[in-house]
Amino acid sequence: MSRYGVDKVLRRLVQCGDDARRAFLHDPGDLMDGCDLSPEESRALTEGDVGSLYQMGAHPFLLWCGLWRLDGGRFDDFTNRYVDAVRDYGTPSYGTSDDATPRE
Amino acid sequence: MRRRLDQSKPDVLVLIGSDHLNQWFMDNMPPFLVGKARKAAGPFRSEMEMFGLPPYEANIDEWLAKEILSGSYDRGVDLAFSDEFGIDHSFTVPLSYLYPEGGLPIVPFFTNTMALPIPPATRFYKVGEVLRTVLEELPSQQRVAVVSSGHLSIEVGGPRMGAINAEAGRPDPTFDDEALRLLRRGDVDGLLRHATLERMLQAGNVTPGFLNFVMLAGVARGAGAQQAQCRGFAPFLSWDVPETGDRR
Repeated sequence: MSRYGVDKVLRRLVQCGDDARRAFLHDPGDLMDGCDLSPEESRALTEGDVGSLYQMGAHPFLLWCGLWRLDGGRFDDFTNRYVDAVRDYGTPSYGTSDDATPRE
Repeated sequence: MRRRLDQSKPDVLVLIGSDHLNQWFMDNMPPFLVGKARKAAGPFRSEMEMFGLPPYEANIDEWLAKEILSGSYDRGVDLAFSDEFGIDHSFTVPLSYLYPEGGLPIVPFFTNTMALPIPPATRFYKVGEVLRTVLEELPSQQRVAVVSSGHLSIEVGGPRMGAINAEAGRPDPTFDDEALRLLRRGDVDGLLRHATLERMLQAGNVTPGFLNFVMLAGVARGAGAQQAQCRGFAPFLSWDVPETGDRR
């Protein structure tokens, strides 16, 4: 599991061109390269599963921006749907190293 | 604010802002960084596309940027620097309002308020104090204004995020009112106790952008802000600092 990897993909979704975003839905290949994702993280990203990604601790700013770009809808419409999807999940930590275990 | 800046006739603007993970990222995140290239341009293409923001370009006062770096090193603050960077909306939006025609050179001063771990309020205050000392002891007679973008409680990408014009733009008015009161009073101890990471995240998931105002309080050496108010969910704060020689 890699919160950092999830954030990396989300940032790529924010910054890439429209063609790459459209392609991501069918073939996430390039945008996931080098991100060390678990199968669940890959699934949540390609399905735009806001609630799961939010609970995993994806950075909320990147999550909202990245999935809005992927959705392509209007600000208000997307934001309302987004907020509905995270409404019950409070404020999970979005640090990328919170799950790091101490060295032996 | 623009009128007040016009009256004080600065030669250069030190502009504090927080990159929103557009370029500084968790692979290499500077807590505090000074931009010392010849020019700064922004915002990023994705921000223009998402938020309809106009482009902005400013010359950088490279000499002052280097003075801030070396002066800070001499006073125990090790800032990062960059010769190649962009400025995001945290810089271009205030510049577009304050100097729509451009023309005033800037020194961009980046702070990390987006990626955990974020430096504590005590550090922001200290860096602000050191910046003030460096500017006061410059060997030039430049008049320097320090401006920062930032915010009070705010939630983006969390359950309390609202439409831009909704009340939810200020998810925690209690945090905000106390923060503004402390800034007006110049109550530094109270401000540093108030702006803990835990309390800020409770107020809204990206509220640590408030720390840029703590840095301004450090620049003001703890003096109370002459203006500290909220219009809608946008805070406006200002400090006039005493003249130092020919500078202010």
